Amino acid sequence: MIIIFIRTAAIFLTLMAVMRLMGKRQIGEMQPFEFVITLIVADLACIPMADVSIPLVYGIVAILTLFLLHQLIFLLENCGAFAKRVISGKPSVVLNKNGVNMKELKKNNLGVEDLLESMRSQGYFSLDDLDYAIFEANGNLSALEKADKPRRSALAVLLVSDGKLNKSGIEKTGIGGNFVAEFLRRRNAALKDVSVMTVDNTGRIYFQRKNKRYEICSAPLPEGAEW
Amino acid sequence: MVKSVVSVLICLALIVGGAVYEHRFIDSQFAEFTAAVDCLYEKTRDHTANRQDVAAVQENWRRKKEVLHAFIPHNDIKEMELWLAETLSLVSYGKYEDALSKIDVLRELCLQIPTAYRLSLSNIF
Repeated sequence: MIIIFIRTAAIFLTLMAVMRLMGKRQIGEMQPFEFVITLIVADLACIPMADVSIPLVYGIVAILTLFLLHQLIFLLENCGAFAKRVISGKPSVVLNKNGVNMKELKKNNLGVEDLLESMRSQGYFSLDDLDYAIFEANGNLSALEKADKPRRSALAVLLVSDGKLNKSGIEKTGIGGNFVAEFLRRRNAALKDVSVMTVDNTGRIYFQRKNKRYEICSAPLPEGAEW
Repeated sequence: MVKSVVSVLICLALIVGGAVYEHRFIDSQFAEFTAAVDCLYEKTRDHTANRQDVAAVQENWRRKKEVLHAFIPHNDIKEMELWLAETLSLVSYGKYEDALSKIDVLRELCLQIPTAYRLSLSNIF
């Protein structure tokens, strides 16, 4: 029993550490420790149930151990903010009034595409629709809409992310690499210095240099560009 | 909060209590059974063992296994039964030398199985 107890605790702590290191992408609606428990508990219950050569007590002890760890973590989290931050992580402000915070995104193993995807699922289709976007500790995106957000029926597509061309975005829109190159030349910017660049189907461009505030510009879309 | 603390304490008490009981129970059961197997070994070595002696050891094991099933993998229990059955057959035919090697395996299993439940690094990893 004590061996099963220690082994379960060891697996739990390893998974917990890995989930915390993986960032918010892997979680989705659960705290990391709840996610880890969900991952393990199904198998723990299943193995002794399906394999009659394993005593049932093996599964029961392992499940009790998980319950014990869950309760201990719950108590630890209530001890203080530091413990809560270590165990469950803290919310990350990935978009603020200055634009996308690439550092925070990278810290959570996320990219601008992931941010855009989460925003779209909340009903926001452009980065400048929001004042703040926060990835909560449970992986959910909370968004604070701009007070003067206009009603738009345009879909923004990512063209440049963290100094790299987003080829799928360029292909999907039929906009061509020249459009980006020409825009950057006019703005006197190098591709590697661009944090984020999106364009919507009205030619409205969200442009943010690294460590700078974002700008909104417009440019006529080349012929054949349609989405 | 109080509910959480109480549930943690109850859970901990159940696991630690269960672990201590399991450890002591398995040790005592195997100590008794090892004594019986040792006795059978000596009788076999002296060529005085008979079918009833082995059957008595077998019966002893059958009684113990009823509860041991709750704590040790059933395959280990089955393995003991198979070696006992072979010993019974060999002793019945008077093949004492062959039976001795089977009883040696039984003695080894009696040593190995309880050790698998002791708190040690090799068991954890």
